[in-house]
Amino acid sequence: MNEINNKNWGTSYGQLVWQQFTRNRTNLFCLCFIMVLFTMAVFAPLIANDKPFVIRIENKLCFPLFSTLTANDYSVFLTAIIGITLLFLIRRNSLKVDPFLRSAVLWKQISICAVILLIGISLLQIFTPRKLDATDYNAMLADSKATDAIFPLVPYGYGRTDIKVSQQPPSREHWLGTDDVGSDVLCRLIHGTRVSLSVGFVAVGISSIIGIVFGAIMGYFGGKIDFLGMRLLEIMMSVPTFFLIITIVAFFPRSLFNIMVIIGITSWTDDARFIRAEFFKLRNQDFVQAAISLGLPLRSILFRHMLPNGVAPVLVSITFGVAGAIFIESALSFLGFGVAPPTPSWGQMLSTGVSTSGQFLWWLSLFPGTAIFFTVTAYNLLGEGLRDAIDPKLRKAV
Amino acid sequence: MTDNGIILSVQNLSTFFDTEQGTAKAVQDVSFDIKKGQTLALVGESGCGKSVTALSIMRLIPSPPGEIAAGKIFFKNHNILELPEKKMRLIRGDKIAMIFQEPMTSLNPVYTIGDQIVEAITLHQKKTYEQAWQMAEEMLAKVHIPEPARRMFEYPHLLSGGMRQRVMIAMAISCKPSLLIADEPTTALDVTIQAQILDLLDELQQSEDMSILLITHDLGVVAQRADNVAVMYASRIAEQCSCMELFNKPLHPYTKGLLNSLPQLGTRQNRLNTIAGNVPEPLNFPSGCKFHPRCPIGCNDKRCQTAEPALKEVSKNHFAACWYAEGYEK
Amino acid sequence: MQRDMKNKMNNYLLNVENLKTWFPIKKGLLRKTAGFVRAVDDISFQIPKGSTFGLVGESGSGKTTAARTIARLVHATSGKVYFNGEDVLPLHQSELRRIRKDISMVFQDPYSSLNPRMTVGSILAEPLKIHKIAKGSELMGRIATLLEKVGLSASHINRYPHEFSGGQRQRIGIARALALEPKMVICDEPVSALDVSIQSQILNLLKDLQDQFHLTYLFIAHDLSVVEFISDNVAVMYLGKIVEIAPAPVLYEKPLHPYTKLLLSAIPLAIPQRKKTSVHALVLEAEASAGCPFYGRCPIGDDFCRKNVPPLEEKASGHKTACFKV
Repeated sequence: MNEINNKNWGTSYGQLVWQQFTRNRTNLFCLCFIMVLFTMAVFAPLIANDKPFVIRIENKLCFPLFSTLTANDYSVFLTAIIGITLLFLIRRNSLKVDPFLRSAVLWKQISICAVILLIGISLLQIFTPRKLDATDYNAMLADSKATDAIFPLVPYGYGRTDIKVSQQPPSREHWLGTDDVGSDVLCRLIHGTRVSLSVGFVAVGISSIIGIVFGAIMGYFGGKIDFLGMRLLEIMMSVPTFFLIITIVAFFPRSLFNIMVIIGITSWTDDARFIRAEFFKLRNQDFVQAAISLGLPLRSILFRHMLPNGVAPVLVSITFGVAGAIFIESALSFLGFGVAPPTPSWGQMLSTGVSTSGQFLWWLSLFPGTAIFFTVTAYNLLGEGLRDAIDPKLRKAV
Repeated sequence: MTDNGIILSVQNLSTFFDTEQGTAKAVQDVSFDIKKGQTLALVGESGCGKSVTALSIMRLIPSPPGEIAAGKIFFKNHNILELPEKKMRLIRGDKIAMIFQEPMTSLNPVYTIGDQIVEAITLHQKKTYEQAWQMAEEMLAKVHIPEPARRMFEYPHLLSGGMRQRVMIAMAISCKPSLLIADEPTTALDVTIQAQILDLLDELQQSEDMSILLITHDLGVVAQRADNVAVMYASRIAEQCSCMELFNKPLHPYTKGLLNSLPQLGTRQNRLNTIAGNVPEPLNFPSGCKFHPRCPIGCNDKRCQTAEPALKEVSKNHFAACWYAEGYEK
Repeated sequence: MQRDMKNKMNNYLLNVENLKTWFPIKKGLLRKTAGFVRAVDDISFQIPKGSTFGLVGESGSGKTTAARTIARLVHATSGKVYFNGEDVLPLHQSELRRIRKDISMVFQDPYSSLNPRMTVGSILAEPLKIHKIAKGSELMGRIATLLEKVGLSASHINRYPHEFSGGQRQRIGIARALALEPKMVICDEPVSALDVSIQSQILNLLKDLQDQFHLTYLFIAHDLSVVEFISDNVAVMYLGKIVEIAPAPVLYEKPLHPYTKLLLSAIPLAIPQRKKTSVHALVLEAEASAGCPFYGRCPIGDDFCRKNVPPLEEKASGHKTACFKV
């Protein structure tokens, strides 16, 4: 083991899991696929937009695409930049920072990033001007009012309605066809990744935080707290989640944020049960007893000693949870309870596959369906791979 | 049966495991014989390959990653390594039986004790269920379990550790095996229970004329129960001789160190003698003699560092693998 | 107050009086208490400063529970535990931390007693930081000294537990126990999970550290020869009660209680003699008797023993035993 690095540093558990995880090709492939999806989601307005990057109107260069980006778009860019920075910092920490100080340094970095992110997003939301640019640049080009335009790869906006070209099968202009109001399917698919991925992440983030805190408290204290907590959990679990979600959605306005929160607060029970079981087991482990006997504070025992050792099964369930949340969102949108149009979402697109006239428009079902299928499969495979990498028993068997 | 009464003869056995970090040579070039009705103790510390040797004899090495790389194992003059798995299954549990360390996990918790012994009997012997049941009851009586008729209907969790180990022994001897492999049979038990179980094994060995391969790390158990001893260190046999000789005239520095490091009951010692260093792991065995980094003689010796001594007879029926053992031919 | 004075005068670091730890057995939907497991049932003993007290017993005798109760890891049912003259059982969390600094523990299993996600350095640093003993460069220096004291090297600071062998891990466990410079160390079977050749190293280390830091040990083990080596006084526990307590040489030379005799005779000595089948009382399944807990296995017990519980009485100077028959 000494040869791994000459600084006499040991290999941490995280590094071991990562080595194991990346050894499997399927895992890497799924990870790449999800990375591509993420890139697509982040850069959606730059890939599919009816505004050109550059256009010359009356001899003046304009940049209509950039000037019409919304506060949300900028927030997404900022989040992406900070996310990448964090990944880079984690990588750098494992190479440059003494393992002795690593967790403290990492916490500092995470909190700084979080502060920057929060301040940045609030500033962006307050100060970005809301501009509506209804100019039809295509028409201007056709009328020779403008020249030298560079359009994005898919030169259509997701909110465009054009009855003239509705319900067209895939063609050279519309690679994946158009839907019932004449929007380009490819464009809506690309913008739909945003909804699907953010629903997956935010909903699961909310549910896992609730689940971890709830489960940790039940597992550590046991006794009456655990008894009451478990009964509450059983009540939560005996309610059919999907119908609960539909009921709640019926009462609250249909917004992406509401859907994320609702999925989040209804699906934490599994995480809570996992963490509770792990904490029960860990509570009697000698190193936890040692931590107690050294007089360490509860905060440190719960979050430094127990959580890192018990979080592995939850990480796996989180990956599966993301897939589940994408499914629920798609199902909700399919039934018409999801995100309100014109915001595109894969489930909602799927539902337009059968037109009001009763025709089956295959391209409207096939493409979003395939996207959902591949994304969910990638997440499930990723969860599977993570579980194999985490579980040392399986590690030896393979 | 052979003329010289040798039941089991292991010759140059090597068992390797493939791991991600390389090949772990768990057992290398191990040879020993067990005579009829005798007990051979295989002593060693964790990771020295004593359990792997036992599993190799039973042909229970999981493959992959394990593999019996070389050697022959003669059981009653048949090389059992050449037998097809089907025939081996007939020998396993019938002619060679094995008991394990953990009596808590080696019984199936969902079946009654009676069911489990009866299954073991009917697997190898042509008996009706009633006959087998009758026999199982006799076996329980033989291992001194009180009220055997009632115990037959009980589930394992109702029994204490010592009682469970008795049930395991009853199951193992139900087919009258010629060889019993006991892999740390008393490590998980209390001393008083350990004495009882060892007594029981002794008694059964005499009444059934059974050979025992006793695997243990406890030199006290060895001293009192074994006829012959093989001391294993880092995958090889370091010293092999009769039990008397080992304790009275140990030749290998490892054996000497082990015997010296035991706290002796009844003597007030101020300090214990120790063997320096750590037990090597199968993936990181040192070069040359595997004991040289911990050896008081060999740690600075060129030959010990580079060349590994083979196990040689140093005096009559006393084998040692050390360049400096008295009588070791150079 | 008077008692405190007495404790100080007698120079006892630890004085356990009538300690009981009973675990309730909960049954049914509403988890009513149906009965108790008397893991530790009314034990008393004293440990003089700087000495080692051995607690021996078989599995289920309550020795580990007793240790954990004293370390306040398990809730005591009743009794008193005076540490340095102060009863530690009624202390609250905040006051407890002061005591925790003085009593530390070494655990049996070197594999589960170290947090696998933390480096050796952080494992040792955390208690020092929490108790505000050292920080910054002083902290690193202290950790390095600690590691060297237990026979490891300062270069091990940034390694993780899984990179060490069992014996080395136990050394780390001992370093952690010593980090806060405690007055007393509770060793809960510290060598029983180790290889024979490593056991003796650790036992010697514990003895050396005791001399160096004037430590007091409460040493728990099931191996009588290990306890004899390290202890000044020994108590034998059986089913939650202390059945015999005496200075180590006395106990091993003249055991009084039949259980102690049985234990001593059952140890396989490393002297080669083919033992022929000896007679041992067979353990019958625990028969609940109102009297002596050892009655079911006792070769000399009679009807009186079955009905009455023998008290722990001084039979010779410093030698107490709980048996009617001596």
